[in-house]
Amino acid sequence: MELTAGANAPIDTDRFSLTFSELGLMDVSIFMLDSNGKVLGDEGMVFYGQPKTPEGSVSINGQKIDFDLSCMPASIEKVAITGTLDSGNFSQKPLFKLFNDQYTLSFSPEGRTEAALIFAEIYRRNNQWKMRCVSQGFNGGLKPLAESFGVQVESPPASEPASNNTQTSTNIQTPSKPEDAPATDKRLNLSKINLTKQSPKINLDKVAGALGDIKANLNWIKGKTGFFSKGIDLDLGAYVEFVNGDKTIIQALGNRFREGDYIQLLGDDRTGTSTDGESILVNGRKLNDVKRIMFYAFIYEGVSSWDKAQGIFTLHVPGMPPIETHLTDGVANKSFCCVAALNVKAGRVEAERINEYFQGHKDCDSAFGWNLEWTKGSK
Amino acid sequence: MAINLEKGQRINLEKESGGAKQFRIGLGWDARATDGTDFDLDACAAMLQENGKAASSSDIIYFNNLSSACGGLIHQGDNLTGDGDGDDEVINVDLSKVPESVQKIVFAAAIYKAGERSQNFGQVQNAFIRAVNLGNNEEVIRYDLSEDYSVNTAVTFGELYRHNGEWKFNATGEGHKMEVGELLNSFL
Repeated sequence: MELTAGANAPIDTDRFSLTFSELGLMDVSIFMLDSNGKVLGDEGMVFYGQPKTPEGSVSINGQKIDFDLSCMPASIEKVAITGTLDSGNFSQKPLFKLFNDQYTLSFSPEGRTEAALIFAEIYRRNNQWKMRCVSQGFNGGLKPLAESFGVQVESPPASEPASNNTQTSTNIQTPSKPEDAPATDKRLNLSKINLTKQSPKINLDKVAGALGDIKANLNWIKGKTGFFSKGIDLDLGAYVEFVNGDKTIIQALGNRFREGDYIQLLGDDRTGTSTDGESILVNGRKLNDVKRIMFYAFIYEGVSSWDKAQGIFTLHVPGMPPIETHLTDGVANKSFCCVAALNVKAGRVEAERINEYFQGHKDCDSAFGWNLEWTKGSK
Repeated sequence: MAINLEKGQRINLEKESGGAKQFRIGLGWDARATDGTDFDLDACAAMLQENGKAASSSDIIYFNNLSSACGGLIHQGDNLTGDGDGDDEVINVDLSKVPESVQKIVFAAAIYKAGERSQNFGQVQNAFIRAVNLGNNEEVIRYDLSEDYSVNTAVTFGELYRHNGEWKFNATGEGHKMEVGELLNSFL
């Protein structure tokens, strides 16, 4: 049975699935809503980075969304199934369907202006679960969509908070931990996979050699540039270890910008004025020769504490939502952070969050067994 | 006492409502939260003669003709978006002012330009139509348009009709895939 936009129908079984006819067109997010149509807390969302609810009533499994209404919390009145695009709108996508053996919902690109769409709602009605085809959304994408469900979306840091303090290396800040915010805080980063202490690893699910270019990006709050104060300079670097035992370092310091066609540092953002921060490009097609790549960030000059820089490290893997981790819980006197690793094991690639802080390259080296020789350098 | 009518159920308003002659027909819906053309729902009513037709277009009450000459039907104004709580469009009915020749008053609601805008009631949030007895402020009947008339664009909600000298109400609750104009013209 085809459910057209606006149409609704009863659901007569507790366990059922809905399948997307196309994979990878968009980021899928599912919002668990109360009687006011609002998300109740951090656990009220299901997306790639948090693919199931704690009780298991809703879970995303690849192209499929699985429901078990028998364990749906009583506080949930409605479940909204949505998709968002990073760029463009749904008019640029092919027609796709959301279906199971009972119902089919079709979404045509024709006349679309939305970058975020609510596809369907699963909702309670007079002690009966029903499904509605909504097919409405927001031109502005994820932000207005999430806000309509009472979720505040973090915007990427645009400028450093106003401060009259000139940062010096002796100015020790109390580290703040935005990620330790109370559970009632509804601020979530929705479209991305967040690697956290609780879930530090993600399997990229593709064999080494089959991946395209993987981009590792480090971005941070732009510091004030003035006559007496320099902007914040964070540097992104990588340790590369090959299967044959060779090892090398990629970083601006020492002008080590590339290693063959394996890996390349794209320029050096000295002032942080570039909106993109710094990036390292990894050739995914040659990962077969690689054992591991460890990405690190260090404070070259500017701030002395990580919470001031608000660094965000993101791995962009083709065909996957961005994988990100935040560099905010470092301590002031440790200016070097080993952020993440790509591990190649038995032909499969795994992304791992590390987020360990060190005094410098040497400490990190000995902690992870790089066994490289280190000398002082400047750029 | 609130009476909830099933579709097609008839009640004797004079008896059930203590002889009340004044009713409020309320149409409500939520303003569109998503991007796109607003949902513009219209409440309308038609006073029909013995032959089932309106005597003239002035007996059809809608956004361009807000009150009947007799004063028996008064539309409180067109709402284009659904902004505001409760009833967004109201037609007040005073049966004591309705001419003897009028045998039936039909109440309906429709989405303005539904076809052009590809809209139906199911896309509108919390759309309802109801009748309230102003004698005791009790809701006589309410239909949930979003839920139960989802794929329709118009609904003839109910009709007041004379029967043996008394007014009765018939909850017709019939959904249509019609435009406002089509619906109103069907009464002429």
